[in-house]
Amino acid sequence: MQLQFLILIVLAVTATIFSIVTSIAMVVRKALELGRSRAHARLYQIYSSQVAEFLLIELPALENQPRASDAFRQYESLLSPVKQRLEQMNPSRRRFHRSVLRSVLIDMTQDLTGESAGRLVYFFYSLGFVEEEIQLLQSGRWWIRAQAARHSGLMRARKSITALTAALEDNHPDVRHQAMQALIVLVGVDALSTILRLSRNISQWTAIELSVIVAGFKEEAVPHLIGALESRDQSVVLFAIEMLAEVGFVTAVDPLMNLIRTSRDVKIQACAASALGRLGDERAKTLLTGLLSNRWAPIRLKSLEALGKTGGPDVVKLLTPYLETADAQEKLTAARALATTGVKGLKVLQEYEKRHMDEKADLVRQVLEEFGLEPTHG
Amino acid sequence: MPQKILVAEDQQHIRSLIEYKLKNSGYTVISAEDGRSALEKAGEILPDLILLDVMMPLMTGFEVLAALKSNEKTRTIPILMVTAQSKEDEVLKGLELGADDYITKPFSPNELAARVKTVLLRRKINR
Repeated sequence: MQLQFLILIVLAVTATIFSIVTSIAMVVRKALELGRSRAHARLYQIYSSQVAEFLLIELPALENQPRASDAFRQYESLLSPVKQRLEQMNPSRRRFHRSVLRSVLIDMTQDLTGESAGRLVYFFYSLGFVEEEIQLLQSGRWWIRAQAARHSGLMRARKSITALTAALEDNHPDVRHQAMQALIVLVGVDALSTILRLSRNISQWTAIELSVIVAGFKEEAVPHLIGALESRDQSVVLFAIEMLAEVGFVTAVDPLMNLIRTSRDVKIQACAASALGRLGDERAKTLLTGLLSNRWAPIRLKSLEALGKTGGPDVVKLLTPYLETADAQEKLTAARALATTGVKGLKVLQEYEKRHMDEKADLVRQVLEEFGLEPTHG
Repeated sequence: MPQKILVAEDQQHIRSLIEYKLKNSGYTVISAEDGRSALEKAGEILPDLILLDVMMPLMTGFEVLAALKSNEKTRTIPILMVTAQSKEDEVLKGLELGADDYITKPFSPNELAARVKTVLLRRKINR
């Protein structure tokens, strides 16, 4: 009994000591963090003023045809006092100062254009930050690699292009995404070819990000998207088809028709047929008509839809017999396609609905209602 | 006497850039780190121009702008809004509320100085 009581007392004392020590450790840690964050803020302010001066100070005019190295010499003369000061610090202090200086430079690069932005790029190289980021792209931790990719883009350091291109094949999607964005900043639209060539299994999120990039370049992106139609990865091809339809540039018609003829992938063929419809080009009509007898239903349905979007009296004539088909999905798609062609197609649907009072016209009635038209038989 | 410019910007690095550029262009610069202190300082010093960032703590640039325009003492002070490039709606809202001009981030410091000069000149002519 006494032993049990003693054990309980010892346990209680141990638990109390443990919680006191933990609390003290937490308080000390918080205090250290606070101190560090205050020191960071103070140093950030100092470096902000200093870097602002470096970026905006008027430098002596160079000769008529100055070499890049002449300008670099001038920039280096601005930086040398800072470099000397950093060299005199102990390693831990130097690391801290360099991290603050880097964050000031990175923040500034996001808000500046013009000659000052050019100076910033030099500063990143000269202070060794570009090299550091390239090395961090090899880090074992994905979030460090992702941040390094982002910083490399912000630093506008073309030296990082090779490392960023390799990062496009990183295991982590965030790293791939940041590398993609950085390459677009560094290389421009031409980076799209590399990005699409190296992309695998494009996720929905990446597709959204990429589509924003493509939308920014519009028709400039078309040749790169056409190139991506040859990718072996289905997701890349589907993305390229979707974006070609979205950009809506006619040079995409022939490559898309060629893709339908050569691909053996039903999903790709169906998607390409749909894209041809969205492009609405007359040249695609013969091919799309031929696809109406394809053995695969998705291709047939997408071709019906596409023909509806292409429009014209010949299409109305072509689609009308499909209202008699026994396949409900095909009938519905044909009815919608007819409605899409315009007044003539809608008239065909209305006449069909008038002729058939029974459930045979139910799907047609549904389509008429979808297009805001009152069916004769309710 | 040099003209007084109030810079209302919460981000230290941008504030430093703007301060340096404007001081070097011959203006007296007073800074505010948030919307509320910008409003207080504007009432106290009655600057010749206010450079007003949209996104600020305590009071947004729009709230400051509306308050300045509704005050008899400060309503005539010209305002130059600083907005993000992609936000057209911010620009329109600022102009509707009575801002005189705007500059988008990222910006060129030389362009900023030129815009400040133009707004001040316009105000001088209008007087």
